Amino acid sequence: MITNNVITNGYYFLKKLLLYQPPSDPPPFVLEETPDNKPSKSDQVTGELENSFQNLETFLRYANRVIAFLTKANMSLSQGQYSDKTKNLKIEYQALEKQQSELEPILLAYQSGQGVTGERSLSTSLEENRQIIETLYHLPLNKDIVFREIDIASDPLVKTMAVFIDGMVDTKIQNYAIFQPLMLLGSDQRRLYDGDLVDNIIRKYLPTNQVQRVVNFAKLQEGINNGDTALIFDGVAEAILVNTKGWEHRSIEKPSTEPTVRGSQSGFTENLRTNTTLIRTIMRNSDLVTELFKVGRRSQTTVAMLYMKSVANPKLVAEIKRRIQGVCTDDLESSGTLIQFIEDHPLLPFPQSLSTERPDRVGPHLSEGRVALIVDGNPYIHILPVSFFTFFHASEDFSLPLPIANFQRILRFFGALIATVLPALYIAISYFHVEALPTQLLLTIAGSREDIPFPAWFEVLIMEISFELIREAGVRVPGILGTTIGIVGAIILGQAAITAHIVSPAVVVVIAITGLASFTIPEYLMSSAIRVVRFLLLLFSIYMGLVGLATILLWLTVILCSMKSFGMPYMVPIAPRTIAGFDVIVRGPVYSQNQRPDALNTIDQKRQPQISRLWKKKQPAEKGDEE
Amino acid sequence: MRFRVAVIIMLFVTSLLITGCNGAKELDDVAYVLTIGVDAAEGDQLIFTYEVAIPRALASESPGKANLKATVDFVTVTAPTLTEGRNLLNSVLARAPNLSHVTTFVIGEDLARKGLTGFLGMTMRLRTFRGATDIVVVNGKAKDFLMQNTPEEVLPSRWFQAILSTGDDTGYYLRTSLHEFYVRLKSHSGSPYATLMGINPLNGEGRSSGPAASNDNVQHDYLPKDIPRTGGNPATVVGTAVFKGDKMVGMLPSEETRILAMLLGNYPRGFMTITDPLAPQHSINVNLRLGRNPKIDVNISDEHAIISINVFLKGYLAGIPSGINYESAENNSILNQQISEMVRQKMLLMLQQTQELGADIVDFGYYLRPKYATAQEFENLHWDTLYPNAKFNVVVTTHIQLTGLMHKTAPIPSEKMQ
Amino acid sequence: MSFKNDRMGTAEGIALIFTMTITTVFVTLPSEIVEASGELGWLSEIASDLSTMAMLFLFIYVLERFPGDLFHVSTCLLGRLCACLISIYYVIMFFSVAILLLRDFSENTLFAALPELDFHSAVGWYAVSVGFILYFGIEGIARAAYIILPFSAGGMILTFVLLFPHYKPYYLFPWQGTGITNALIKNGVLVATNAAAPLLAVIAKSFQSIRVLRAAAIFGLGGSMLIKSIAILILIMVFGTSTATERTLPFFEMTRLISLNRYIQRIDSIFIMLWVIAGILGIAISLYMGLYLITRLVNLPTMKPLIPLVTLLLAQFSMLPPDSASVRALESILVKGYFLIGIYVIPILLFAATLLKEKWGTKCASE
Repeated sequence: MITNNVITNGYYFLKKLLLYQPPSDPPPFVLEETPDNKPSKSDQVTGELENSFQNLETFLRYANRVIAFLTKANMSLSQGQYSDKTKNLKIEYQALEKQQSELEPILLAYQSGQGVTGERSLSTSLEENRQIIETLYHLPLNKDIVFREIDIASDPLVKTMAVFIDGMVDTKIQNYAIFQPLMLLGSDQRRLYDGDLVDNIIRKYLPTNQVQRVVNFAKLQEGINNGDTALIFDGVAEAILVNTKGWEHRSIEKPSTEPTVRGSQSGFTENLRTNTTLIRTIMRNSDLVTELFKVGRRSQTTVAMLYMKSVANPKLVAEIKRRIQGVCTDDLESSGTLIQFIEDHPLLPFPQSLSTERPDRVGPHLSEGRVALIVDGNPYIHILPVSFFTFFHASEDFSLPLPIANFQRILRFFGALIATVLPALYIAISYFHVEALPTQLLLTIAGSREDIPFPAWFEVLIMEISFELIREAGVRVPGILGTTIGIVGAIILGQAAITAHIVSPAVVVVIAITGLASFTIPEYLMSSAIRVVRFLLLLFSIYMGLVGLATILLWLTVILCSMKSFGMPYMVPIAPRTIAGFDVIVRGPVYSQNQRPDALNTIDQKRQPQISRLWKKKQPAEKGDEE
Repeated sequence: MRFRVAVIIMLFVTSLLITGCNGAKELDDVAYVLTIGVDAAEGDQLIFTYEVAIPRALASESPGKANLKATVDFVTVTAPTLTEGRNLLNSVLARAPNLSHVTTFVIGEDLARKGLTGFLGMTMRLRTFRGATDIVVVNGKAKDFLMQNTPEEVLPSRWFQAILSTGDDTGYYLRTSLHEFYVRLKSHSGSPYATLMGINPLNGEGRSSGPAASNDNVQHDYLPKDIPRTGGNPATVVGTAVFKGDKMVGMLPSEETRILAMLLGNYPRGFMTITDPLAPQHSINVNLRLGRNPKIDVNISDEHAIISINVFLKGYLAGIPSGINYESAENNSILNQQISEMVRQKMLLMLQQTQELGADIVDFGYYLRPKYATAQEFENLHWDTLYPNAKFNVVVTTHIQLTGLMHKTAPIPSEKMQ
Repeated sequence: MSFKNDRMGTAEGIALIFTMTITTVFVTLPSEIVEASGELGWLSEIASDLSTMAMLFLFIYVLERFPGDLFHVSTCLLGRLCACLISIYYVIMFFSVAILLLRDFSENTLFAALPELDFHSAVGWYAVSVGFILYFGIEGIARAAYIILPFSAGGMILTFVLLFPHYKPYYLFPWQGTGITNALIKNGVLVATNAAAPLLAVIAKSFQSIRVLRAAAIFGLGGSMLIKSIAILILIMVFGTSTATERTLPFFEMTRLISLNRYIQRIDSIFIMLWVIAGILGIAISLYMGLYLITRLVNLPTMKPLIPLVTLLLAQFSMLPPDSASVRALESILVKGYFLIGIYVIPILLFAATLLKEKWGTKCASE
């Protein structure tokens, strides 16, 4: 055939190779920059509809309950047994009556007008209470909340529900001091409904140190968020909070790679539950949702996604969820691996998510509307999306006084600049633009170079590489020896290299300053990225001097500006310009941080009111104010 | 896609590799020329004296030793142009000569009198030289000056920069950059001038040159070779070389340079010695500075220029050898008048001298610019031909504000004077 | 199809216009303006910029009534044929701007930064850099330009301040220079120094709103006008007219003059970085505009395959003129002739068509 010979094959191969094929990928995810924050009118209408829908459902559930009761009564009455069962029926009837009084339309309308808030008081119906708690904790999304339904041995059985947050309670206390006495040590002969049920249980059957009676959901939530176990009983519009606080303390250690002067000293561990608990101890809010996924066909690694339901942009949450669920692999080594699977630009050196082992760092980011990812078995938690500037903010920035924090921040940015360009600048100037150096300095450097048998770029490269070696060795060598090797190695090597006339003192100074400066960047991944970029800049400044340096810097700027971190522009809030809280390069005072980052386009843009120091507007404390 | 990326990267890398390093030079492969001296030779030839730094001398371990060794080397070549001179220098030195650290051009008097156009044309076009480079004229040969200059500084270039920047301490010399010189040369008014340097014979002799004012019996108007002194570095910086066009036509000694500095508004401070008005055998020391920039107004009537100058000086008393109480109000005004009159007369003498030379080094034409609407009109005026016949109208006011650390002078009892 | 979903705000608009119009300060143009207008050169610059700004407002007037980009608007106002002609005209215009900039900045690099570099390498380097950053789309370029804007403006202002000891204010007199009308009309309005300014209309669709365009025209062009006219003012004050006209690279000469003391002098090489970046951005943006119009004209789904080809072609074109003098001559022909059509004739044409359409009340189909 004519169509299948070497020439046509070659032609088709070349055509396939050279002809442009438009990419078949769908358009990339971009987080929209101009939000429509105000709820529109149609939203309000649907809100009202939803409320009445919920009311109707409540009525329906009540009706079902009444039907169940009636059948039961009918059965027992027709069987003609009177004594005990009738008493039980009476108790049940009383409960129904109570619930009916709650359902009175005026009350209901008032309550539904409030929406599902914590201000609502508990219902007598167990089912109703469960519904409300589920809404409050965004179930079924949230996987942290546990409902444990038990029946307390009694006549009639007391249907009870224990509600608590997984990880924040001490299971031992729970098992031995709540479930065991209530379930095993009771007897069917008890008549708990006689008199005050809650009081009965507290006084006689709960051998725990602290209990509290609550009547509304606000208190209930607070207790649950603090690690208490809530016991809710059928037929009683009251609940008991049992003190079962007990999250893990001992295994938590200091964060090893993110030391801080003023921040908290606890770090994440390998246990996912411990980590979620650590975050919950900082953000004690029922809005905090933990979603769990299984990633890795064979490893079945648990991945937790945490976000504030009322703050985080739902589109962002959906997109991250989509990406995590779209990862199909055998096993997941660590959170770093997961991030590489889901980030926008896995081939670029710049980190697109903030990895941290400090719970106190995750908390503020969550409340800004970001999402945290935890991978079981890895103590590094990734926060996303982030902007380039976040990597230069240290966790203690907001705990230090304003001028000190800002001084340190400026120092850090300056350090980043030096770490990026100094060796390249040295090479560019000494190779192509010697006129820029003061004469005396130039002659001193030139004189000290006379004994050196290598070109300057090679000197810089030798020193750069040996510095990298020292750094890498310091990480790998265990324990105290590592840091010692780092310091001693650097000093001895530098001094020896000068005396051996292998490198000139000027180069040692340049590389030492560069190395030192690169350690001022708080984020390890960012300082690694800058290190890579530094070599690129060095290469081109050897070749083209300042022209090469300027060009590569421009390339980097363009790359950074076109990058996205999970749909959010990477250089936000500078490019594109968005309304920034005064917290980019320097930060403003804490009381002026009124807005959440604009680029995240959160549901609630406001972080604190315009006047966050309310005491400023009030009279100072006077005589008689003391208690 | 991967193939294409690989091809592009390979092409890029290859093109980088084959073009080489674009003229990158190691710091120690370059010989740094610090100063260039230029003299006229026969015909169109020029004698270039290059002062080449020896970096090794500066990088020695102990800083004390550095001073003992010679830090510069001299190479003198005769060549028609600056670039040709650089080529010849390249044959002499093992390293590639680099002229970008030249801070000063030292011009020999003979070349300056022959004309600098050719030389300047070369310096302005090359990237290595910049307008901020200083230009000085040597009263003698540039080569001799550079060779005999034994500065106390480690580097001669440092000496040039240091001594030129301290000129405003006395006003005896004015720093002139290539840029200023060149702009003056090309503009339609004003003449260029340059700092004057020279070798002093160090024999302790020498006398004042230049005309003296009628009420001035203190003769101290010096050119570099005239300063009566011994010891130290024979290189001396004092006075101004006056150019007409690109040719040097004369020299202004120290005091006249100071007057020039006043007229240029560039006289920050300086001690001045004047004849004691009440005891003429004595002199008085005052420290003067310009109270404000000189007010200069130029008017043209009937092809004649009338230049009005108003200078305001203020300062403090520095020494009264006669012991007369000049701190008192009436004596103070006498003193003020004396200073004003002396400065006025000196100014007139200096201006007269420049008129004779035909060089408007103050650039009075500059003040005439706002009086014309278009550039053409101003050019048609031909200011430089008007200047030699211009009339001057000088007003000098002096105000001795402070009396220094003595607020009055008590007389020495007369019996002690006998 | 990345270029179809760009959404750029005020900052990007300002940065684009500013970067595109400021580049002329780094080339020979200020000298040429001083030569033509004498002491009044700064007014020529202001006149030229203000008239361009007025024309931009005509564009904005049109775009307000007929949303879309230049191609779309001219199609519905003047018909498809005219739209094609206008687009082809602008393609040639933006490409010639790119070619001139490429040539100028390659020469600058040879003169000022790397005298031993091969000329072809210099052109090649700029071409490769431009091609590379074009792949990231106008959004990335504009944002980078916005980040760099404060540095370039700050660097220039710093230069002006550091030159203070050299100021000679009377060099600005005789104040009329070579004549007011000469400066205002012949060397001002009738010189298209901001040929690339209509880029706002070309990619109008990529901007968020008309308000953005307006802000970009006022602040972008206004800012660059301020800096350019101050640059010329200071050039005259420092060098005087006769010396200023001699200079090939006036701004570079100004940075070379800076000499504060023994330590801070000869810092001109630091400013190399400034104009290298400005040059690459300028070339890239003008090239993008040409490419965008081509993709619109022949309705291509993407412009990426065009980038290497067109960059290569333009690099070859820019190497055609045999010497700097012929580049100057070509530049002056373009700036005083060809570019004027794009700056004045086309916006006025579109404006007139809009007025007529509005009178007749016809509507235009949106895309």
